[in-house]
Amino acid sequence: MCDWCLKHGDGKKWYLNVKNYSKELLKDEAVIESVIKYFQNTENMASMAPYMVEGLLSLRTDEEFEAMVENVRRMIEEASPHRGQVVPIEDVREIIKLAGPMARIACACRRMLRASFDEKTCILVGPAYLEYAKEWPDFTRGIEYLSKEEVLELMERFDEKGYVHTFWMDMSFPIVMGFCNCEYPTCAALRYRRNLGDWFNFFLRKAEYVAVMDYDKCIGCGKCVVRCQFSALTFSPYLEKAILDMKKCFGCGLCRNACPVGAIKLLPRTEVPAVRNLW
Amino acid sequence: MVTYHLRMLTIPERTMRVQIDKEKCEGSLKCGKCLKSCPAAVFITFPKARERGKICEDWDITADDALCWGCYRCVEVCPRKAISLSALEG
Repeated sequence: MCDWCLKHGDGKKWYLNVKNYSKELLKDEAVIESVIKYFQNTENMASMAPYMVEGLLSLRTDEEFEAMVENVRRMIEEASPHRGQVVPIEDVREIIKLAGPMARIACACRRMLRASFDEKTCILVGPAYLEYAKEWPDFTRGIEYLSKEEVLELMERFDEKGYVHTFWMDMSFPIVMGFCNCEYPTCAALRYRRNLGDWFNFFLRKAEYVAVMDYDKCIGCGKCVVRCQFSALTFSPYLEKAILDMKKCFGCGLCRNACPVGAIKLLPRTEVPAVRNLW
Repeated sequence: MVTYHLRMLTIPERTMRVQIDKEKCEGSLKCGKCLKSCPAAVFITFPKARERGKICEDWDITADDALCWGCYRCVEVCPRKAISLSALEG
């Protein structure tokens, strides 16, 4: 359990604390400002990525590099460690129980990276983001309001399809934002997390779980390998089994859901010594 | 913990330069073939100006070429030959 969860999670996982779903938070002007900033600027921030890379690659001296590291360090310290987190389907069900009204919109990343406006895989959850959704029709294209049952059915379908569920909160405040259903590399968060490495985990965090393989049960069918969006699973021709790199595992549970013999299970990350501090 | 993470601060190796000729490009919303077919999803499109209550139909396009795998798929699919790829030296 991290400090941030103790503060905003009421001793539970941050996304299961009902306080973070409250309409009360909308009384704060700064929260509203943050929500509006998100609807207005998300794509523009992503479009800055090439310039940031350019800036990093142009660093020549140690002093320049040190100064840049210091900037990044400050940025990480100010950010919440749980901006986005991978959630397996069982936690998706728990979140839906807590959630109020929900709506699906065209996925911001697939729009940005694929110019696709039909993949409505983003689900807005919680009062703050729904309140302002209508005012930003360019961001919330194709908005569709859904019941809890409909959202659950949709999420199960995405799970079957092989999309990784992630749950997001506001950039600065402990207020829930919604689900994304992601894939590599068409999800901006997932691909930068994979390409930039673990220091980027203030933006997208691994799940509270990790997959653990029972190698005696594995029959080597390879069904789990094609489901992994994080390159954690490989097929070993020598062992004739799938092998799971737990250090790369994000704990999404997609492989477990596809295993025909139940050889993979999810354990709480904190209970597995090798990965308990890897987020 | 933070110091530990910073030691691992990595960025992808940039080996290719992806250039888009904006004069020739038809625009991501009208065409978007490069965005749809790039396996590495290198291209990024974003609204030029987003206003409250309005739909923006004018979207700009850029390329995060540090993520480019160099397959030349974009050059093949672009109907107006607006994209050029070149290898970066050193």
